[in-house]
Amino acid sequence: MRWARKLMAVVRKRRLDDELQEELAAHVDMLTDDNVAAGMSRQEARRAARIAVGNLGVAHELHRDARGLPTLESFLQDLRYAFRTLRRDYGFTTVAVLILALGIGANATVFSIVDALLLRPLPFTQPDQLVWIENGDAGNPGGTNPSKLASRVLVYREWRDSSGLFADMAAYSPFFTRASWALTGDGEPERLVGVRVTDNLFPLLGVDPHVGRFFASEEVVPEGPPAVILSYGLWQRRFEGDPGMIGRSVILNDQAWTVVGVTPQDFNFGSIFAPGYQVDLFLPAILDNMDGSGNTLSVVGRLGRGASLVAAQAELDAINSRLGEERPELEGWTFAAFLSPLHEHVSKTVRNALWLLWGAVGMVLLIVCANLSNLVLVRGVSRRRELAVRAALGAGTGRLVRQLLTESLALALLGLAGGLALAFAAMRVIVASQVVVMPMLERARIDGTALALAALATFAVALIMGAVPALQVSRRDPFAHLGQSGRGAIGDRMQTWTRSSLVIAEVALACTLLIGAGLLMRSFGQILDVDLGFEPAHSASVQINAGSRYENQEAVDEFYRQLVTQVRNVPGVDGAALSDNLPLDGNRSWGVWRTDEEATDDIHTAFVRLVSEGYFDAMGISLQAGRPFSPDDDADTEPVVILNQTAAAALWPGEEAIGKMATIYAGDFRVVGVVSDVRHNRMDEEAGLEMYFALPQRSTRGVSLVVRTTGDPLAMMGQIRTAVREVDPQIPFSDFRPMERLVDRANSSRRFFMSMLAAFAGIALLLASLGIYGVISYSVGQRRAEIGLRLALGALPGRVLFEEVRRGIGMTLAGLACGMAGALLVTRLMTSQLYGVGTTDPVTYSAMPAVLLAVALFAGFLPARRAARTDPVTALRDG
Amino acid sequence: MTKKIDLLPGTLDLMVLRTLQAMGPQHGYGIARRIEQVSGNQVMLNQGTIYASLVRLQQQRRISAQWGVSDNNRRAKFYEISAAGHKKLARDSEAWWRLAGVIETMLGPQESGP
Repeated sequence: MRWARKLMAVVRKRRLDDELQEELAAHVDMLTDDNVAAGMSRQEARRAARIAVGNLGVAHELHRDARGLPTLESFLQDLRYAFRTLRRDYGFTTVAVLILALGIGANATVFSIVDALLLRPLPFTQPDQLVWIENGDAGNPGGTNPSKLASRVLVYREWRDSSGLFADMAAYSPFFTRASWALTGDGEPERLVGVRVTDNLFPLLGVDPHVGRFFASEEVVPEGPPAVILSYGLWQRRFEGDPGMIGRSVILNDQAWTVVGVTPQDFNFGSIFAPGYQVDLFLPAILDNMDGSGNTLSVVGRLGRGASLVAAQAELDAINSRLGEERPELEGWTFAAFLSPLHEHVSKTVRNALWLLWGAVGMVLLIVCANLSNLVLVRGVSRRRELAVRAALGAGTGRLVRQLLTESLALALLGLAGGLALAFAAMRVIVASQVVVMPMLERARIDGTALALAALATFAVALIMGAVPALQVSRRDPFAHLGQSGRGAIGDRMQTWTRSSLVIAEVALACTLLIGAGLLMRSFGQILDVDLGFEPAHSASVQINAGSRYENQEAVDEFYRQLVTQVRNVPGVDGAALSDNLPLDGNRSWGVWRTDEEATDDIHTAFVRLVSEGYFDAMGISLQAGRPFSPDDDADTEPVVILNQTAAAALWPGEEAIGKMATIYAGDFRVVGVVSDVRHNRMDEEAGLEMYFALPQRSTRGVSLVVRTTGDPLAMMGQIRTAVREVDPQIPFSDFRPMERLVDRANSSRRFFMSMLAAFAGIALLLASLGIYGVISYSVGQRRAEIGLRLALGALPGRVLFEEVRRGIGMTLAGLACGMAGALLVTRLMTSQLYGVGTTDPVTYSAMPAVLLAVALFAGFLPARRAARTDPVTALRDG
Repeated sequence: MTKKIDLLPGTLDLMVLRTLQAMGPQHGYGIARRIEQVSGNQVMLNQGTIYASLVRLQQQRRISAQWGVSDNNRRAKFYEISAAGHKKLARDSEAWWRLAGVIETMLGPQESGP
């Protein structure tokens, strides 16, 4: 309570001072009156009264201290003084605040991303119990078996039912990007992304419906009532958030589905399980129908209380080996269980890069510290006399140190404000623009933690940069400077040494950052140069679904044929074809083996695409041998398959593949062609085995239409849509997108990390050169008279210029040496981020230091030229 | 003239409370005047310092203050001791007497040293 009153007293300072003033005046008046009454003259009486009351200033001071918070008030006073000083030193303040803002802004931005992706727990109940269960080759964890994404229904059921350590297991079908859902009925037909999930997935995660309920057990069995759950986003966007939607039907792929629930607003399935996809619908996974079709389920488990990951791993391993013996139908199948904490799995792709980025941004902050310390040092010299005067007037060392610290704090507060503004702007660009595909990125925001950390960093910077001049004040005898003229700093070796080492440190850190960024940029360049195996420019795709109005396969095939023909007739269209699976946009795989060998001997897993004839032309995939699909490859002719080069070489090493027979679960297929490899999963991942089947021979109801155009595909969207709608007016066209966008999305996180690191390296370069400029400029300024004298005595201006520039080069070279050594150490951590360049890439290691050296030379040259142009007469006269 | 004695820390507050208890509501000048009179001018008191004591007591809710008009028609702030002030005064007086007793015993009857 008393504290509150004291604080109030600080706030109401002026009024309380006025009151005291009045009281004291009355006091003096009354005393004067009494003195007069006692016989003094008026003047004498007043003087006596004044003496009796004492120093009014002291009375005020005591009053203030008694009623308020003296430390706070003197701090506020220092702060006011500091802001006044900073305003006077406009140039210094602007530069310092900008530097600080960059450092703080970069740190706050990166931290909030790191926090969202790595530090904050997953948005589920007790998320540390959640486990990702991955398939793969037994005994080879972390392998790249294409089947590792999903497990078989039979295996999943066995795990779920016989495990004692898991409280529960749930699953979803990860192949949802392919199976698209057309929403028709009221309004524009729309293409939606739907995921099939088991009925217990949401309860297992601990997610409650926003309205309605999740799936009931009778909805996840064959022939059960068709039920659908809407995402909050879709519900808001399409149905205006109407709670009355529960129990109503929507038309999806020509079938009526009853809406039973809506997911909560903060639940974002795609962000966690499939970054880059916005999931609109959840549909029940009917396990009984999915059992026969291979690895179809991605499995998430929740460990029971006290169960460890290691124990659970051992338990599932035991179940798997038992299954292998008991279930002959699993013979030849990929099935294993690799457990990892769900959070680790979700953030796996970005974890390493984010730690690196955080490290980089920490280095930027160090450079900022060094830079500001230097700035403050230089400024401190010119302020020595001011401080000396204040000390002479009675300010104690402690008071002066406190004032200097307050000043740097004031500076830091301005920097913090600027930095936060920058960070908010950066987050808007990164998160809101949705161009960067990273899990949980939408959670990133400048929140309390980020603010606290930014404030902490600011405080630390303030302390460091305030400590430097404060130490000088406390170490030196301030009176010494009163007698000196402004030229007194020539012999201050200690100071020069400090400043030079700070600059060397800056150059070193900048060099390390530049090399790191250089390596990432080189990698990115290599990625962009990668032969994708297809030609993304001038092509676009749109999802096509043959809904249930085509009652049989012939009707669907006829529909496909008409569609392709119609689109090919559009002027400006060079090619059109269908595929169930586009590159860089989801994948699936089947086992394949040579028909002339036993399946178990040498089974391969190959990615599968079902394509129509003309697909290779439309995609720009080149045929290496044999023939492409022809319109004659249909249900009535011999089943054929076309392999990519890798698959052909894997199945028939050193032999001609054309004409051979390959077997998949559905039968035997003759190899009629070999095409070039397509980077289907990631741009930085080799193609793997791929096989293409003729769509009319293995048909499906969900495909993508690929169109190759002469010009910009987006410009032709209208005509293509018209052509498509002539065949079927119900087809949604909302997801028409240029193929290049797929490439951009596949690269987005790499592009993001590269741009961030490049930006930080740029800042570092700027600050380091600023540091060099500052030091040389300062030393030239200090030795103006000396230089003038030398010039007057006949020194050549070129010589003076050279000497000054040499100082800059010396510092830069020392920094470069340290920085390159640092880079050799640090970049080893980057191996997983690099593509096509080694961590010791000679190009980067020579180009980046060269850039730094050039910039440093320029930064040193400017003040050196000023030195060389010194007019000896003026310099000597002005001293 | 003998040298005036400095006040021990805290004693001024005690004197102010006692004065207000004895005299009823009083302005700062009156309190200062009264302390000087009672002490027989032996106490070193910068009268201005009394206001720091007054504002402190006021914040501690031991006295209350109100603007009023003095006998000779001047606007002045009048202070009045509160219930909490009475309690504090009683407590501190007792502590003071005990302390004074201890000091007296320690220092003993006045006699010349060895």
